[in-house]
Amino acid sequence: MSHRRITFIQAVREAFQEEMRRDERVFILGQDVRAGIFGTTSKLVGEFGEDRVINTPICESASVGAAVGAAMTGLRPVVQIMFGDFNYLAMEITANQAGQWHYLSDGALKVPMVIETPSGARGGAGYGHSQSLEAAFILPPGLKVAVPSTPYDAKGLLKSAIRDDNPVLFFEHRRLLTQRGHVPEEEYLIPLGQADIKREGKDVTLVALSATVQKALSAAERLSQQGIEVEVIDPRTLVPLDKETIFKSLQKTYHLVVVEEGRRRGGFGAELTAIAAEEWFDTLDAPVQRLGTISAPLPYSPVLEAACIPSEDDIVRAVLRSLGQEE
Amino acid sequence: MATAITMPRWGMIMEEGRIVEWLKKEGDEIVVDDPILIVESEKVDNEVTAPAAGILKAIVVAEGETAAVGAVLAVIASPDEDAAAVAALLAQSSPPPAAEPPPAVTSAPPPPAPKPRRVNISPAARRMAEDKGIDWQSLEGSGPRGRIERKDVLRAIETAQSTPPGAKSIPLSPMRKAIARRTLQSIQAPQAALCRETDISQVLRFRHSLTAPDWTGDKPPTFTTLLVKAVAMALAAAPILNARLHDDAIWLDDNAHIGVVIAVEDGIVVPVIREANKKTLIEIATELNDLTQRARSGGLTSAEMEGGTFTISNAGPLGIDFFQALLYPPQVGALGVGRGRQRPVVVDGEIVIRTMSYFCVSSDHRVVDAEPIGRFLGKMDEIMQNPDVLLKRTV
Amino acid sequence: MALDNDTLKELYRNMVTVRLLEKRVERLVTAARIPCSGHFGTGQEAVGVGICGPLRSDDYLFGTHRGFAEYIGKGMAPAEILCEYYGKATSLSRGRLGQHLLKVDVGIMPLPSSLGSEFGMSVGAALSSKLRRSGQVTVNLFGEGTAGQADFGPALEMASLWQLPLVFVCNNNQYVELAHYRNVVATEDIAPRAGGYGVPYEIVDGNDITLVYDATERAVSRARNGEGPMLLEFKTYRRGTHYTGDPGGYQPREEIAAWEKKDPIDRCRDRMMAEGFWAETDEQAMRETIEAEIEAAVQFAEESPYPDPATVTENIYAQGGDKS
Repeated sequence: MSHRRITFIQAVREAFQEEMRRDERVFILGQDVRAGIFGTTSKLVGEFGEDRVINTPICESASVGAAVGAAMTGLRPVVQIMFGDFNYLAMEITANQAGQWHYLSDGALKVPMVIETPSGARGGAGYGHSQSLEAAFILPPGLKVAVPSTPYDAKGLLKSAIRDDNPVLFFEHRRLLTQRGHVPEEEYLIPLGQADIKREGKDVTLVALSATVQKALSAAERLSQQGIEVEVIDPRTLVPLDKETIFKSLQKTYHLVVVEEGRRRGGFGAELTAIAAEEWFDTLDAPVQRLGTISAPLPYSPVLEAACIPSEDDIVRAVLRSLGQEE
Repeated sequence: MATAITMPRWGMIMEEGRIVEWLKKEGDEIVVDDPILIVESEKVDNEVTAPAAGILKAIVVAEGETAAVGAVLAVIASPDEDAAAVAALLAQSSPPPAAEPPPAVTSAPPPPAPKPRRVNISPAARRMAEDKGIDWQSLEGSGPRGRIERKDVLRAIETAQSTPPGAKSIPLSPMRKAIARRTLQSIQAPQAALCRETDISQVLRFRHSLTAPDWTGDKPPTFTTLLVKAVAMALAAAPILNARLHDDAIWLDDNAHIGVVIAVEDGIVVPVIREANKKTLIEIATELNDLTQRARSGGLTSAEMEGGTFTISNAGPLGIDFFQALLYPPQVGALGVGRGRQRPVVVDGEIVIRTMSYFCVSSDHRVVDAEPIGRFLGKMDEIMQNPDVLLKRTV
Repeated sequence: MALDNDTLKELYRNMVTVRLLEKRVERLVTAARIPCSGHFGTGQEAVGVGICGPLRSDDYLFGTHRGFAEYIGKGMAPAEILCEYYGKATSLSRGRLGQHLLKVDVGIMPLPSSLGSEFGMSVGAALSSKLRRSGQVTVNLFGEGTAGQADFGPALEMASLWQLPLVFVCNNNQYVELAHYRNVVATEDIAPRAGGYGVPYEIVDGNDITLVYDATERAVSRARNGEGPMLLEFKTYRRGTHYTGDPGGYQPREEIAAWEKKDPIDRCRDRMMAEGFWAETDEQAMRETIEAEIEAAVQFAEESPYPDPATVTENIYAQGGDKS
């Protein structure tokens, strides 16, 4: 096994290359995918040609619609939405069409497609280019939602998403794109619906998504110096959700904290908290602590942006609150 | 063949319609598609036309009335139609099955269960307590807002497991824990106890001689009632005893707020009679009676047990002769009263029989020396010998 | 491929089936035998039926919510339509679709409730058949009102940019829901908008099924030959209301009467009789057969069971995926 370290961007691009070589039904469309704004699709056109790497006019809804139509008729499209925020432009197609026709046709139609979408706050992009909207896709039926936090996870999840027969939203946090991580040379897949324990601990179960996984790990290091051992779990996909891994951890810690960069109100944390209240009630020794972005438009100034988004300090405090060590 | 005219459904949400007007009357001859009546739904007024030709035999729903979608409104039949066919159609009063929702499952709500005492406990702690047979209702929680958490249950389990053989482990009740805290707090104060044997014969006689308007009760006032009044008066002679110690300052109170120790089921409580110095015997008796009742039913508020400046503990009913009452910091004085016993005593050179009792003052030596206590007990003695002064309102 | 007499008879039969079936379903809606409201298209049957004439069975059709013309035309049976409307277990979707008629194996593709959402999907279907070199053509039928939807322009743009085998067909029946289309559509004609995207277009009388067939034939052949998309606008008229129970009254009587004279079914029959290959006896026999078929279909749907509620969670997700 090699110890190669590559960036998140390279990992995603490798997933595309491998899957496009493997299956000629796979193609990519989106705005400027030939050049590749964030690099995940750059240079693919050279190998796969303009028929399989297609620049679209500036219209997210029709582009996602085209992906749905192509997916229903035998291809396996990947459509890129350049910024997560722009998913709302295509929300009608994603929510009302892509996720529903397999069911409505009683299985006669399949919609095997991926919506690849860089998202999240990186400082300086401001309103309209910085939101984390993954939780908005928990609500419509029929969709799967992946939120990788490392290059390794990104590659393995994207390959599975491309091979899945359902529409999969694939969120790439822009703060992670340039980060490096261990990715083996050998081919591997990560199934959708399998959480990863990023750090073991016995005192508190801390569920974190996407870019907040790293903040959670740093917070856990700090808390460890105070004798508090935090278990950090990255669910990796919100739908399907690996409830078992989280529950197993909770049966050890009895304390649950959930952090995401998406908005707290009605977010993934709200869903997980509801699951905890319904299904894991007897394993809660304290109220669930839920962290997310405040319900305000994301402002431009880096100082204001940081004030909206959960920080490492916020996570430390939430863990202490969970343990009754801070009100 | 007889044909029913039924309430039509127009649009997706129509559930019923109102007959605005019948355009035909019973007996009229009808041609297919003839307008027969006008129906008003939530959205529109519209004509209903004849589905078949014949005679309008019967109108079932009158103008102005409302009928559900699918309900029979009228019947058209040929002139020679069998009356039974018409009647059969008229019997169809309910809408067709396609429009019917499945029957809702209903059941009577269960009778409300009696409300248990509300104790905050985390779900995980409760599950653990129930699994291990721990009575969590009696546990004290260490979490926020007193919530019982797993560690509290774990501690209770440990205690239960460490009980020596032959012994039964009873967890300390919240009240016992409060008493434990207060007594521990009390012994922090350097205390002295000074006693005086006091003749209470006069005051006992006085107790039974009271009449209206000085006393209106069925029974004579309790001895404790008289003590509260007497102490409030006697404290005026030794104001340093009617005080509270706060850090480096002594707070002297203008009024006497007298705590009275009351025994309840599993401990004691000390409610306070405020401004006892300004109250009549009747007022004190009424208040004390109310506080006692509520103390025994657990109905005292914490505010009613705070702010005392001096405390009385009457152990006479328990058969105690002589004891040192517990001091309640930050108060600096408490009076313990033992039981009254008839004894031979020498008065003016003669041996007489009198009812005697030991009055014993516990004090915080940081604030109070022997002299004011002597003065206070002397004043108490004086009042006991001249109980009529107890009828005075103000000191 | 010219329209021969047998094909015209088949198209005529389909139009009559559509007319009679719509009337029958309208009665069932009003009688609350089926749970949805209906949107019918009396007077515009030639468009939906005619455009299907030149299509292969594997060509893709994205249809409209109004009436059954293109669904009968593309190969759905009255019983299949009725079972969907009843929501019975015997419907193709097992009770999931209702009015959103779908029959994948004859190329009938999804009808989104949010009309216009199919524009992108039809681009995708056409792109797919182009990339797969399958020779399939996609027809996207829509109303003049739906041309106002956001994806209409981008779909024309993509179809033109990528030279897709995609035929846009505007069924201009002059009424958008409860108002004349000129209340909400800025131009008399929709078709010239295609020109702005470099897509050729034709405007054709939609009440003459032979003209509908011929125009579609030209556009479909072009598309199949790799010459790119086209837009056809058929002028027709919706003689009924928007939905069952719509009080109507917004269509002038004279206007309805004038279009009744141009009824596509009457015109087709008169022409066939004038040309001598259709007789009154043929007409009688055909109508009796169709009515019997419809009554049998109603009875089948009525007698069919409702779906088992336990099936409600089946096929939310496709299982398995690509295991190769």
